[in-house]
Amino acid sequence: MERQNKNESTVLKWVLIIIAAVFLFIMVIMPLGMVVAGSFAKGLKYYIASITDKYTLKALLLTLRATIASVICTSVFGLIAAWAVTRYSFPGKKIIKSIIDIPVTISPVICGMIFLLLFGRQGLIYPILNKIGIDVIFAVPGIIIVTVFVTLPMVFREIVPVLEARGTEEEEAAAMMGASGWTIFTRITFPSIKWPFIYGMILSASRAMGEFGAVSVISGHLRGLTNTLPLHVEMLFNEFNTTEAFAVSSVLVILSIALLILRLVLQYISKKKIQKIQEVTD
Amino acid sequence: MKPIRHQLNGKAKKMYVTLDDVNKRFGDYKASDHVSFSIEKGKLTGLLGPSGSGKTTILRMIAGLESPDSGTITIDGTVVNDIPASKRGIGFVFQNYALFSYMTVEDNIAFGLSVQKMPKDKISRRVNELIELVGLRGMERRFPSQLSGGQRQRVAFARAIAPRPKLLLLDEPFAAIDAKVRVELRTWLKEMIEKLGITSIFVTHDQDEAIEVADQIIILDYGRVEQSGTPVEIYQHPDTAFTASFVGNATVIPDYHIFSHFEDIHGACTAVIRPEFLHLTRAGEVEQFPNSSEEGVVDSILFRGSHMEIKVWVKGSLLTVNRPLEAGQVEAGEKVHIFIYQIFVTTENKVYHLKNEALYDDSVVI
Amino acid sequence: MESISSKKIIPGLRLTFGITVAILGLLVILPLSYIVIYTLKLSPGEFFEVIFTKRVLTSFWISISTALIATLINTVMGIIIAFVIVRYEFPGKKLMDGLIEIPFALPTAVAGISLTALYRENGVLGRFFHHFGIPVAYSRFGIVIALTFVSIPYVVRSVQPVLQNIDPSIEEAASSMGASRFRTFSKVIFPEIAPAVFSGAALAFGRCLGEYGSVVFIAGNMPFKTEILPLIIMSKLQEFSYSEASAIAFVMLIISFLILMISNIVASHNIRIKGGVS
Repeated sequence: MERQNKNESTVLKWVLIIIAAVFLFIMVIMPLGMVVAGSFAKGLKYYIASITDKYTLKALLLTLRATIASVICTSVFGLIAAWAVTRYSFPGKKIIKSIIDIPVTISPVICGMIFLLLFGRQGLIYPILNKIGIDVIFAVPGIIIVTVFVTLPMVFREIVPVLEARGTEEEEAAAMMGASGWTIFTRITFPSIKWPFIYGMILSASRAMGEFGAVSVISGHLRGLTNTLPLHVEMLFNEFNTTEAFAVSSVLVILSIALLILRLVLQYISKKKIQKIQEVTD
Repeated sequence: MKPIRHQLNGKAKKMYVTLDDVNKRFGDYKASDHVSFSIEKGKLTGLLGPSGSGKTTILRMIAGLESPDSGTITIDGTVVNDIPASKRGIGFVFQNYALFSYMTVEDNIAFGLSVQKMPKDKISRRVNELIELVGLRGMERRFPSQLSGGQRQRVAFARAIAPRPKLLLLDEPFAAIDAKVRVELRTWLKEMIEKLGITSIFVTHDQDEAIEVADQIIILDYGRVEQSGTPVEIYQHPDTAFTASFVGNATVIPDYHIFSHFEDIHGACTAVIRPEFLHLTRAGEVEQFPNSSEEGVVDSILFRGSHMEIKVWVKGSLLTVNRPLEAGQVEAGEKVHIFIYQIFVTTENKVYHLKNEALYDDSVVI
Repeated sequence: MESISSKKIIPGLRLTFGITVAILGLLVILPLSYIVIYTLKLSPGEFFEVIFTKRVLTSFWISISTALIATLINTVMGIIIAFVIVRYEFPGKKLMDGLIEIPFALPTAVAGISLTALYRENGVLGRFFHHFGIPVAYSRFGIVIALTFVSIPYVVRSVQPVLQNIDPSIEEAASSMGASRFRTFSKVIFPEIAPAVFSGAALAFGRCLGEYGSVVFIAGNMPFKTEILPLIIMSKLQEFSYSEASAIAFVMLIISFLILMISNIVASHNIRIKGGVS
């Protein structure tokens, strides 16, 4: 009886594992494989030519600029907002938290659209910007602003749960001893959120790099000017340059998987480090 | 709370911390209700009360972590109401210690000093001295998570006194520690504070702790000061019904008239009886006041190590009696005699200390 | 113990609060209010005219139905995958755990072209379905595939930690008392993970409803057939019909806030139940 039970549970185990594995194989590994196969469909030489193409490199540069801007903005904003939201109690805190979440909860198309409305020809700010001679819509600033917008909450979302779980006693104790806000932040608060802060930066970099919908609305698709890598991929694909499209995609895939692996490795290291601190070494 | 005023005017003692008519509300909850008291320099004072009595709020107001709605708080002759917490010269030991979890023991202790921009060599000398004082030699490089509860408390204590504060405040200093280590730490803390001579106030809900550690106890209930005095005064001469029932292993009797041999106080019914007010005799044992004893039936017996704690039904009330181990064993259900030496009869705002009339009669007879 | 509303002794409230509110105001509230401003440019009659055209209504239906199917698939698969990763030891487990992150990490446009290439008539997988006369790319089926891909991680990641915290001995106890495997799951495990499943599914559904990048390639974007809401907004914007685009976006926003609210209510309800028990 018991043996039968065991057999049954091993069978069930492998059935479930196979279902999960097949699903992930078809849904995740095959698309990844498709990128590799698609990239090299016309050989290595063509691949290298595609990824070193002038427009590809320009798109890569723009993507990197938008990504760096996003990482900086989400970091600064995330730290300041998380400090405000978790270190003090004030009415309306919940509302502020929900507002901060908006960029990641609404459709990317709407994210792009609201800036199109704000800065576009029919918007109120347009005449002013036009006078100064700054183009936002269908130009680089627009792309950067929109990318910053969609990644704004990334660091905040990672560090707030940690700060909430920690409570405010340590900061209170430090404040009582006369420490300044900056000292409290750098010596007490930041060390406890260092790792989630880094994950947040990595997550925002990976989102910023791949952002498509929002950027698509506002870019105007000017080859070599306002094309980010994902937009460049779209353009190539729609022009039936499938192999080039995949080659450029592979650059994005390599970057995003590198970021993913970096995040997983850091998660592993930080877990080990925290364990080491918590180990009682009597 | 007039007496304290008198004391102040009379300059009988040197008062270091004074609260004068302090009030504090959190919504509907009155955390402090006309609180006034004074604390002598160099003394260790315990704020004792059940949870919700407002004792922690008072401590936090003295520290500057809360501000009173009205009333003044004076430390060393200066009204501190508008002085921020960090400028009050106070050391604070938080309930859960609030040690900086990403700093070593050393860095924790040094923090207050480094904030004051003390030169590095002076800091390390002071830290060394404190590590020696609290007995944490060899643990300097550990993180708080690698310490036991007792060790953490020592670090918290060292950290609080490092900048040589004039006043030390401790919020439930023993609450987070195992019962076993707690007693040991109490003695340690008392010795430390005596050695340093620092004026200290601690908050506790544990009367044993307050009685054992404090030089002076202030009893609080519903945000009011019930009584203030030395542990002996508080224990032996409770002023209010609350103090009488809160301190000691008290049993409250709804109507003390069921026991004869006690003076009748007009309008008073409830009384408080403690185990040490009672004497139990078994049938056949020699009894001092056989005629004035009450009949009782043993309900249960608890072995307390040094003595037996016996619960006895006497006229519908379950009283607690202590009995030495050497005395004969009592069994549940056994009929015994209970002699009541004294009781605290309590009215709304007064406590009468009544002795059994047999005690007077006896002295007359002999 | 005592209700403590701490006095603000930690410095920096005004500075950090001010900066937070200022950034949110300029970067989130101000732009977002433009949707309302543009929607209000329409009279109520015009507003309903925009929303109740057959093309818009159809795309609402397409968006919601495909998002629901994808969410359903990922709810079932998410529970299975989470269970497999938490409960079983097998070679490649770490890899499987890492693969779950790919849909979040991979740029949506890359996923879009890759899935399109796979499911086209002459694609590796498309050929198989084509054999049975089922078109995938440029059909609603294709939309479901793309949405399923992007929303794989939600249910898995929300169920995993909860499952990890369920003591396996509870299951053992249930099965030792003779409960069948199915009964054990439905009576013992499922009630524990149900709230996590629900909140994961709500997030997945929200994501699917707004998804653009991965769908735009595979859908084919034919009005009345494979045009989802974000696509219709996009084409309205390209026609410079900003008010109409705003009206549709406005309704979408209301739907996503409703989803958020419902999942919050379910979450707080569950906390109350748990709090009551312990």
